[in-house]
This record gives sequence, C-alpha cells and structure tokens, in this order.
Amino acid sequence: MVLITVLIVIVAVAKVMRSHELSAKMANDEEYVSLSEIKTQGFLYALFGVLLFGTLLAQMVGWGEFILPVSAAEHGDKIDDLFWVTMYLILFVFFVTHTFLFAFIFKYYEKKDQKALWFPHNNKLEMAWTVIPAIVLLSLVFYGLATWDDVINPKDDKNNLEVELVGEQFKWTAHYSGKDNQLGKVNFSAITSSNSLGIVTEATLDSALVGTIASIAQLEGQVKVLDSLVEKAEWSGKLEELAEAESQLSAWKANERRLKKLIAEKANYSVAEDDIIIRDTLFLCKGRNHHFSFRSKDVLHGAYFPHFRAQMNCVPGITTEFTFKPRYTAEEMKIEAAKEGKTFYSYELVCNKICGASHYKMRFPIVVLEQKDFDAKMKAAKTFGEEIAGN
Amino acid sequence: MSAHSHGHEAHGHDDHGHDHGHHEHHETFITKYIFSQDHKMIAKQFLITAIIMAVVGMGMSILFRLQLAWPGEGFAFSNFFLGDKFAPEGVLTPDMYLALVTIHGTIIVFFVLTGGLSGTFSNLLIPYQLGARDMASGLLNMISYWLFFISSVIMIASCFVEGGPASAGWTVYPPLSALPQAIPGSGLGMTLWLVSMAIFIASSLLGSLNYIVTVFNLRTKGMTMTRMPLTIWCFLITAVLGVLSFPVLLSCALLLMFDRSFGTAFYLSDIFMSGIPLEATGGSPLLFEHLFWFLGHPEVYIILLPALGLTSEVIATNSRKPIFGYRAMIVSVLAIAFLSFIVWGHHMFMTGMNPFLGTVFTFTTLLIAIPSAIKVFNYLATIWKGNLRLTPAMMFAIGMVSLFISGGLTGLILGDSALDINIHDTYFVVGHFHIVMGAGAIFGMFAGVYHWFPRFYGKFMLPKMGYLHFWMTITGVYGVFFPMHFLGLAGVPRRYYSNEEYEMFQGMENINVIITCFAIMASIGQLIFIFNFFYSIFKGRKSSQNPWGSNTLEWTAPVERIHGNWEGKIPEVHRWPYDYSKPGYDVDFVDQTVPLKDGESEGH
Repeated sequence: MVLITVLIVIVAVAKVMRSHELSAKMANDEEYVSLSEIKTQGFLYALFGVLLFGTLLAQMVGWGEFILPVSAAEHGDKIDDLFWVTMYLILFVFFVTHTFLFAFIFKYYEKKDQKALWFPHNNKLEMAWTVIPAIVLLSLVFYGLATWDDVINPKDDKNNLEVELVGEQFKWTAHYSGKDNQLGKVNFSAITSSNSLGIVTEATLDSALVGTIASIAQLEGQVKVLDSLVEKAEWSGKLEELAEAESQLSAWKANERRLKKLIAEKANYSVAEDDIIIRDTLFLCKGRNHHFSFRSKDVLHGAYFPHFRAQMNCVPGITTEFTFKPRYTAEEMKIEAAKEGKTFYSYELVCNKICGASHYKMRFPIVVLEQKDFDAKMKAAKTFGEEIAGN
Repeated sequence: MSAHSHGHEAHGHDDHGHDHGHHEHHETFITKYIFSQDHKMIAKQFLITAIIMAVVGMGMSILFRLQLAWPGEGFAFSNFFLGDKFAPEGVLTPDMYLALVTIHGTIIVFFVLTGGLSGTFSNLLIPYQLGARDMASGLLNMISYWLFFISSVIMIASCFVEGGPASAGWTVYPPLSALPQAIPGSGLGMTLWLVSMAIFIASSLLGSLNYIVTVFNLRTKGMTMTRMPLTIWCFLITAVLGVLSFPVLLSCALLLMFDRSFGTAFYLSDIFMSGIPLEATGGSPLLFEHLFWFLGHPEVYIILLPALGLTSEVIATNSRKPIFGYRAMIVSVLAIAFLSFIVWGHHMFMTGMNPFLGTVFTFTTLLIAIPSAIKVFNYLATIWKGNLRLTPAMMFAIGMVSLFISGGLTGLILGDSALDINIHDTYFVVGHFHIVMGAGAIFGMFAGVYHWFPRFYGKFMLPKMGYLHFWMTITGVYGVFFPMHFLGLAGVPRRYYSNEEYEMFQGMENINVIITCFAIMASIGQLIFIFNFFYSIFKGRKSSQNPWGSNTLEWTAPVERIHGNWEGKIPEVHRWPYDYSKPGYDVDFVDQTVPLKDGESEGH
C-alpha cells in the first residue's frame, strides 16, 4: 500500500516537472493540447474501455458467488427472477452504450483535416430512443409491480404463524404467539424489568402502575432535595441535575396517566400468558408462512433477512409487517448453496438502519426447524405467564 | 481588448440603456476580495470554499475507509487527525466512525455538490452567457455566499464539540438524531448541524431566487429562451427545484429542533430509553422521512442537473458539433425536474410506508429513466462524427456521461420496490449513488473547472496534470464503487463499522481492501488537481479571449474580467449557441453575436 502510494507520488511529481517545462516552452498562440496529445488520450480512453469491461467481467466471475445467496424463502425466487431480468437488461445497455462511447472517442478524436458533421437533430432517431426505452421501462414497471404485489400481499393463510420481532439498542427479541396463535397486545407504558416488551395483561398493567408510582415518589423526593439545595444557593452542578430529575418526573407522570387510562379501558387486556419470548435466537418453522410484526422500543431499526429476501424497518410508534415462508433448514440450505457453487454458513438477522454506535453488532441468529422440532422447541420454552409468575 | 470584441460595437444596439463598462471604481481589498458583489468574484469564493470543504469530506472518507479495509488496526494517520479520544492507538471508535460517515455525506452532498457546484457555475455563467452585467441583485448574491460561508464554518466547528459531530447518518433520521441519550453525536453536535443547515438553506434560497430572476429578466437583446445555452437551462431549472424543495427541508429541520429542544413530539412516539418511557407520544419518524425526502430526491437533481448542463456545453464545444437534439434536451431536463418531485417515496419502500404507495413510487421512479435515456443517447449522437478535442475538460465530460450511464442503470434495480426489499440500505445503494450523483456531479464540476478556468483567472490549468488527474479519478471511482455493488448483493449493510464478526460475510475482506486502495489513489489524484488549480492561478499560461473556439457570450468578454463584464455595449445575440462546424462557414464555430447571413436558417 505504502509502496503504491510512494510510486504514484513520484510519478505525479515527475509529471508536474515535465508539464511545467513544457508549458514554459509553449508560446502564447500554441494550441492548449497538441494533436499528438489528443491522439494519446483517445487511445488511452479506448484502452480504459477495454479494461473497464474486462475488470467488470472479472469481478462478475470472481465475486459472482457472493451475488444473491440462495433464497431460503419461497417468494425469493420471484424476486430473483425479476432481479436477473433487470440485471441482464442493465448489462446489455451498459455494454452497448459504453461500446459506442469508447468507439466514438477512438474513431473521432481530433485530427488535422477531420471535419465534424453538422447534425443538430433528427426527429426519427429521437422518436426511436424515446419510444423504445418507454416501452421497455413500462414492461419492467408492470413486471415489477406484479412481483411487489405478490410478495407484499400474500394470500391469506389460516396457517400463518404470528411472530413479533422487537428491536432496541442493540438487540432483538422474538415474541411468539403461543398456543392461541394470537399475539398479546403491547404498549410501551407497560414496560418493566420483568416485562421488557410491554405486553398488556391485567397483571402487567397493575405492576407497571405500581412501579411508575414508586418512580414518581422517588423522583419527587429527589426534586425536593435538589430544590432546597438550589434555594440555599448550593447550586453548582445541581441545576442540570434538577432539570434532569424534573423531566424524568414529568415522563413518569405521563406514564401514570397513560396506564390509568389503559386500566380504565379494560378492553385493552389481552390473553398473553401463552405467549413465548425468546431472546437469543429466532426460531422459524419450515414450510409455514410467518406473519411478522415489527416494533421498536427506541430508535429506528431495520430487520433485514438477507437469505430470505425480506426486510422491514422497525419504527417506534407503529407496527410494520412482512410475511414469508422459509423453505430450507440450514442443512438443506448448505446442499442447495453447494449446487450453485456458493457457500452457506448460517442464517442471521441483521439490523439495517443506523441505530447507534453498536449498530454493526445488532444481530440475531436464525434457526429454521422442521414442524415437529419447532413444536417441541415451543413446548419446552417458558411461556410469558410462567415468566412473570416466576418473578 | 481584442479585435474580436471590438466587432460588437458595430451592431449598435443600445437598449439595456446605460453603460457600466467604464465606471471608475474605488475598490478596496475588502470590497474586491471579501465583500464583493461581483458575480465572478462570488463564483470564485464559492469554488474555493467548496474545494476546501471537499478536501475535508474526502479526508473523512479515507479515515473510515481505513477502518473498513483493516478493521481494528491502528493508523498513525487516524490518530493524528482524531486524537486519542476518537482514535485511541489509531483505531477509530464506532461513535466516530458514524460521525465521519455522517459529516462526509453532509459536506459532499450539500456543501460541495449543491452550494459549491451551483454557487460557482450559476454565478459565473448566468450573467456571462446571457450577456448581463451582473446578477439581478449583487447584494443578495453576496449575502448568499456569506451565509454559505458561515454555515460551512459551523458545520466544521461541530466536529470539535464534546461528544463529536452529528452521527445519525446524513439523513439524520429521528429518533436517533433527536435523543442525545441514543448516541453522543445527537447532543450539541446535532444542534450545530441543524443550525448550519438552516443557514445553508437560506443561502441556497437567496442564490436560487437570484438565478431565476436574472435568467428571466437580464437576458441581452436577442437572447430568447431557446437561444440560451443548455448550461443556463440546467441552472434555471435547478434553481426552481431548490426554491420549491429546500423550504420543505427547513420545516423538516425546524420540527426536529422543536422535538429536540422544546418537548414537542412531531417525530417521536412510544419510546422507552435508558429505563424511562419518554413523555413524547403521537409523532412519527415517517413524517420526518417524508419531509426529508421531499427535498432529498429533488436534491439529487439539484446536484446532477448543473453537472449535466456543464457537460452538455463542454461536449458540444469540444466535439465541434451542435449538441444533438437541443430541444429534446430541454424537454428531458424539464421532465426530470417534474418527475423528481413525485418519486421521493422510493427511498422509503422498506420504512413501513403503506405498500400501495410503494406501487405508485415505483411507477414514477422508473419513468424518470426515459428522459435520462434520451439525454444519454443525445450525448452519444453529439460525439458521433465529431472532431473530438480531448482536453482535460472534455475527458471529464465524457467520463461524466459514462458514470451517468453506469450509475443510472442500477437505479432501475433500486427504484423497483420488489427488488429494493433485498438491497435497501446495503452497499448496493452506496455504490449506486456515489457513481451517479457523487462522482457524476464531481466529474461535471471538474469539466467545468478545467473548461472555464480561463474565464475565472485568464489562465490555463496545466493540461498534462489534468490528464493525470482524470485518469486517477476515473480509475479510482470505478475501482471504489463497482465492487460495492457485489457487497450489497451479498447483503452487507451500509454504515457498519466492521463486518468481521459475521460468518456470512466471510471471504469478502479483500473487496474492502481493494476499495480502500482505490480510494487512496483517487484522493492522491485530487491533491494533484488542487496543486494544479492553485499553481495555475499564479503561474498558469495566459489564455486568449476565446481559447476553445466557443460560441457563447462569456468568451466575447475581455480576459481581464472587468466590472460589468463588457466594455462598451453588451453583446447582441443573433443565433443559438451551437453553430459548430456549420456548413457555409470557414471556421468551425460561429459566435452567437454574428448575425445570420442572407438566407441562412437558424438550424435547430
């Protein structure tokens, strides 16, 4: 690296000195660049064209194995088909237009007796290269939209597995719907240390309210102490502390109001005791449609499943969704990947929306299980009911 | 004064009234070089400020590229610039990595390619190419520059506050950018970012309004709209885009300021952070994203159109051929500008926006490829059977066309909502936009600097060094950004400090090393440019009045760049600007000021 840099600098300096000498020699009426210089540059441009094409092809061969891992979700094939149709079209246009570009430079660089053609416009040509791209693009639009519709609005499936995925700085939590296949309702006001997702049941709301009231009492005490200190003019550094405590107090009071409202509207209670929360791995069931609900507890996160051609942002305040059906376990995936000459290591969910300093570490291993293994896994896991009872 | 411009006296037009040319000016150093109201001086001020900002932006990219290629390795270079706090033992911290990525993007997008590009060339060329003495308002023009300068200083200053500069990405999505407890850069650094951007927007608006008024009102006699060079068309439409979209960014930033400082909740809801459920509820980050991209997408064309305008002019002049399809070019630019306002949602396919909107935005986005394709074909037709004078400016202009094709085409993949599912926010996006609007616009800017350097300073830049600069830059650009597409298609997310821990990204380490090597090479190329630029200002060879054999009016003004641009009367225009190699003329260019011969048609 250092060598390359030094080499380039030396070449650069040499060039500087030479061009300086040249420019000093040039008389004022001489051409800015000579015809022989232009010829050199024309050749170089053509050479560059060859190298550009060559290196692009070399990259496609050398790194081709990285392009699109095998799709582990059923809808992925539709996306990949659309991708390759678009990609071949792009490559075709790229090579054709660039061939013209480099060929024209090579053929028409300035020469002594060469005259440029007077050719300001041509309606037929212009019409052709308006209409043809328009037709091609419209076909692409409709093909793309059909695929989008297929992927984003999958047919209703009674057998859908309801799963909620919650992002927070810098970890993921999976929330399964349990026996009833219905996710418990959630509300951020109900979050406590024993209910990290804020699942709403009669018990969790009550305990959240108790906790909130305790926080308020503690902060009110703190504010009182700080207030008296400030009054006694012992306020070095205390003003910031006071402001911080007051803002926390006001946040907890708002939480109290929200909780009381939730408790008053009993309709908000949900049956969530059968729900299952898993914090270290996302287990998926092979061959079943998973309807994912995505939430975030703090900032934006992006739930990206590269192997499953799925992605959706997690947005605080709203629930977003995506549905897909895994079709290979990791073992099967290894075989499928080998068929295409690719290597498969493991499934993983990664965060794909900048979320803070450890954004790059916000990951979640994914394991795809056969139905019976999946059922066993769920049976063995602690339910939410057991979790809060244990606390 | 050359014989050439004496010729204009003969036309004897006397409208536009009084003659500024011979005023005695009592200029001091301050009024001439600092608080100047002269469009040429302001253009230079913008250019040099932008060059300084570009060096900062580029330096930052090298700092984070070192980390990406050799994660965890210490570099004395990093430690020298960032100190022990942000690069202990020469290893960038994750916080600082994000800060650098953020400020790099902000500086290049706004300060170099928006302020720098439009500010420099709209200011230089609008009065010159329209035959005007100056901008409609010299005072507003001066204020526009100084606001730009102040905002640049604030942006740079924000890098030195405790906690570091804004670090939420150049798009500063809340809640990350709204909550200091989420990332240290969202404290004072973010406040300064917002203040700087607000001032920048004011600067941009003053500039744009001035450009629009000047184009509509100060065209010289005979300069009809369809006799304007394409540069002016592009600057005009760019200014209109800016006036319509930047105020939306201001409102977007203002609401973020409120959320940060005054306890409002435009963008915040249901947030549980550091053990506390925040009071703010009812807002939505999606609102921010809509407002941001309502500017953000036209912004892409605010960057690109001036570059395309400069490229059109440089290519026509150096091909010694009229630009092919002049009217089609204008219509394409108008179509691109119109469509650019209804495609912003393609940045938001995966953000939780209603999928039906995704359908609409896919449709409009792919349509934008039609006028873009027309432009590319017209450029190709222009150089076909030309007599291509491959000056450094022409090399860059052709390079711009190449980048516009390469980067534009991958837009067909990203603009398609179904395909975006898999590559949204990956390195594919990074590769795409750096080629098309980063490097593409920079190439247009370089073409402009090399081509109009004689107009700025009355001197030439050193051509050999220009060629070296060109080859290092284009090789660097393709070497850096082509491989990124492969990373993206493998699923590597952008804005990752390191991919080391990911099993699934094994085997791709070399790609990052290659990218960084090319990036270093390209930046050395830029140092050559900077040397050439400043060296030529002082020691460059003197240029003649019309060194490129160009038709446009800026080359009828004396080399000395006098106040009021022309001595005596301003020129009168009799034809369009692209009569190159016109049959019936002995020379291969016909100045716009030359009247049509008997029986000659205007020919476009």
